[in-house]
Amino acid sequence: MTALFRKCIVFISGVLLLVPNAHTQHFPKIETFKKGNIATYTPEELWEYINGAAVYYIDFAFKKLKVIEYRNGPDNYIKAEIYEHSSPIDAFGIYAYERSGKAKYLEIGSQGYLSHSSLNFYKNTCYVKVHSNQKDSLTLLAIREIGYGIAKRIPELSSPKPFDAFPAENRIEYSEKYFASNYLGHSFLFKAREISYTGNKANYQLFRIKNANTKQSLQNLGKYLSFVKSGDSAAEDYLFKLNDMFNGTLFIIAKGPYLYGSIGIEDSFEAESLLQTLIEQSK
Amino acid sequence: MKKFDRRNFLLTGSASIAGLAITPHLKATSSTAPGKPRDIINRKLGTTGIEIPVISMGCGKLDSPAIVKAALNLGITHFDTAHGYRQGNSERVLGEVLSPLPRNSYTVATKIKAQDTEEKFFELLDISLERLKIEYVDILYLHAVSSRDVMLNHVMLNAMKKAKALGKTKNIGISIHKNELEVLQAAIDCSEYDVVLLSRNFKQKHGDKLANKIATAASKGIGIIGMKVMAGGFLDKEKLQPVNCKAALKWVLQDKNIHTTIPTILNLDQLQENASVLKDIELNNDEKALLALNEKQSGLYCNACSQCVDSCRKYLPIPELMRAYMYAYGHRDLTKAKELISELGNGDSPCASCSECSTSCILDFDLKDKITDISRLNKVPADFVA
Repeated sequence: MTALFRKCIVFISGVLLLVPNAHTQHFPKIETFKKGNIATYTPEELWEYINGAAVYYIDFAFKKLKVIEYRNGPDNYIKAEIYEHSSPIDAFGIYAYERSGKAKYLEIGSQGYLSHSSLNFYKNTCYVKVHSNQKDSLTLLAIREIGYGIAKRIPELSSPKPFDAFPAENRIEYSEKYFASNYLGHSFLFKAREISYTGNKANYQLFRIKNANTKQSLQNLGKYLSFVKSGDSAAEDYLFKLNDMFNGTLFIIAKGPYLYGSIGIEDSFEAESLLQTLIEQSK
Repeated sequence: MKKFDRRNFLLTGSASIAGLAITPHLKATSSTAPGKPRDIINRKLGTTGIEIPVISMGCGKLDSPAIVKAALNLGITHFDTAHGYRQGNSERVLGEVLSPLPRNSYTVATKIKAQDTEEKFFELLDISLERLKIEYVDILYLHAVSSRDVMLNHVMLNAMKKAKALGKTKNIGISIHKNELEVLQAAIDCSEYDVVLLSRNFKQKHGDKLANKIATAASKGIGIIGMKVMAGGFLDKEKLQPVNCKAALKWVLQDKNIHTTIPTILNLDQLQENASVLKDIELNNDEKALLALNEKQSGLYCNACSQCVDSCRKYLPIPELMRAYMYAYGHRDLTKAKELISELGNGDSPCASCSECSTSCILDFDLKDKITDISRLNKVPADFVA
């Protein structure tokens, strides 16, 4: 090895030592709490960190978790967790799955909230949780600082928001959900987006399910018709009314790979009008 | 979209309504108010006064009111949740379905992890009751107790007893995920807990000892509920061979000291399968054969109970070595296995100097054999396994 080559190796090694670990760049440095080391977990290892809850994350195509602990003294810590998923809708799905009923929503990431001493949000393919064992004002401020700092470091996504196609009128705020599997308790309904609305007589839901293709869409519609013993065969472009004994009255229509539907609307004309809007806006 | 004309509506609508009563296993009643068909098998839950069907419902992943409604229709009346499940959303869904029903028509259990103070404990309990929309739960567990010390922590034991005295719970219990023998013995000795929820399945190699301990607990009037009955749900790491769920449930319920089980039910198909055991717990020969086969395939996954560590003359990090073994043979990830073996730094023949192994495994793993096997990775260059 020549002397020049050896010098290059030393120089490059030195530069690499000085460059911050790519992982730590995800987590901001703050004044009041000291940053610890980052731990990483894969799907096979996630159970070690969150025990039985790991299955929920894996259902939503979890890929990797990075966790860091910030400390201010021996008794006060803040944990920041970045769960990376395969797609933005999966990140949203697990975020909504855990979204608290009583929360203070914040302008952070794509959507986020503060509940007790936990700040949760999602952005791009990441679901982020920042939480502490303490609730004092200094800690709550630090939680926000860390959360916003992480959000800034996650790139923006240029694609449409996951629920833009749904009718805007009468939406119940923060009611959007994504079900990776077992929608309405049925194994043949999955990858379902749902929003709740206020109606004249009662609240109702609209949903859209994306199947692999038209054939699968009709197969799954057929299974639903079979479950309710309708006697009809699945067909595209036909609005079926179903009485699901456990989910109530549904209207459902197959269009290409999608199933569009409503839950809790009794009037066929109202259902048709709303679903027509959803179909048009989904194109 | 084709217009939905009145003639078609009438055809489809009436057929749908006619279908309501026909589905063989998910038979509807006129409301979701639960009933108990006479042939459901019930057992007394210790001395709690609760008579409980042998199949109950674990609500760890609950996100559909439909499944709870269907479960009630089938005669399932006990629902198990926890403060932390889905950050409270499991309790909320249960509350939505159960709260309109007569309170004595169902039972609910929830769990709270040990807290530093009684004040914090009651704060979480009150949040749980609010989510469930009830004034009391039927069983309140101290969640995931793994040692005698945690179980006997006087702050939490006093808090649990106070919760009972205040009427926020009818009964108190503990849930055990590991170290079952130690913690169950502590519960027996303590005589304060009414119910114990613990892992019980056909794969447990310490099953005989556990069964005896369970019998002792039951004879003292403690209610025993089995969880993790499916032992992970799959026989193999690739998750291609599912456990026969009915057989697994029936196996556990052969022991009359297990008063009910709480399988997690994700959809109506699973509910239908599990609920069939409500009326029939007899294990047939095919089901027995399946379970015997399953036991032979269960040699990859260490319990991480650490009961082997102290008896090893060299104090080897056996659970971690078993994890490396699992990475290699279960996950087929030699890179990860090698990384872990290198990190542990026990050399390529850690067992060579011991003529006989002094340690033993509750799963009957041949520890020396597995450690010797996996330690060979130390001799393999990293490039070879990448």
